[in-house]
Amino acid sequence: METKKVLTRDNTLTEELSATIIKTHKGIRLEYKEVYYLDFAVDEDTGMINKDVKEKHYTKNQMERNMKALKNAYHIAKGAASPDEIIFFREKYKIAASTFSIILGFSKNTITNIETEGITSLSTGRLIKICIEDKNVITRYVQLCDALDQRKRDELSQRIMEEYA
Amino acid sequence: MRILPYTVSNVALIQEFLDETRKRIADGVEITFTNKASDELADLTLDHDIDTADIESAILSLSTDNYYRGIDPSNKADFDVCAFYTVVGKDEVEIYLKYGLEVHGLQILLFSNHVPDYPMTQPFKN
Repeated sequence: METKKVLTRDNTLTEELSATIIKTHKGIRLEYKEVYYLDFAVDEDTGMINKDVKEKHYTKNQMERNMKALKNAYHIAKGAASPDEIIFFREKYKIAASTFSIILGFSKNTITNIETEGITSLSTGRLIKICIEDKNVITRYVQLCDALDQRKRDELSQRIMEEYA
Repeated sequence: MRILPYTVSNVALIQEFLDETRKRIADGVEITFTNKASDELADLTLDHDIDTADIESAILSLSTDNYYRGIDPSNKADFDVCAFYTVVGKDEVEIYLKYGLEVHGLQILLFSNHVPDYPMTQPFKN
């Protein structure tokens, strides 16, 4: 697989690297994957470049991706559903992402966005977690979803209830 | 880091630093984060929902009043480094912000962005 390239300070291409980060924040252990590149260290007091030492540096884009991964890990640690859990649930009950979104009262693309980009809101993540862990809650939302016809609602509810049983 | 005394020429020097920062960002140069700045932004993100755009916005909003310390006027360094006291994000979280401008290049390198550990003076304010 081809790796991404980043321009260093002296305009040479270098590989984007990745590492698993374990961070403890207010007693909560967070684990997520970050991306970075290496460039010569700069002394923050003298402003001098040290050509003997390379350190982690981050482009703005890499920071944005890393902070998204961090927030996703934080939300999951605080009780939100993880993207993998959501995918597992949908595949198990054969529910399309857009359908699941509508059942939960989100806009059509919300679940797809969460599955690809991670949980961006703790309240949303927690609601999904409750729904995928409690058959009574999810079947109630299925029955309340007027965007689906009654036959589809019943079929889906029955599938969920049977699987849970 | 050295604290420049409050003189007309030093205020002009800091203003020049801020003008150069704005010019680089306007020309499309993106802020680069050091490992330390990345760790600190992680805390700001979790505690105050601050992101990279908020940091860039705080940098663009700096004035000489925000000056804390820095810039070696001897021009011997590879980076001009300057520290500021400012606020960031919708909740106006107070932060210590330190970044450098590459002298023979275009990089804007962020060294620090964290809630101050102690009260910070603003020697160029008023």
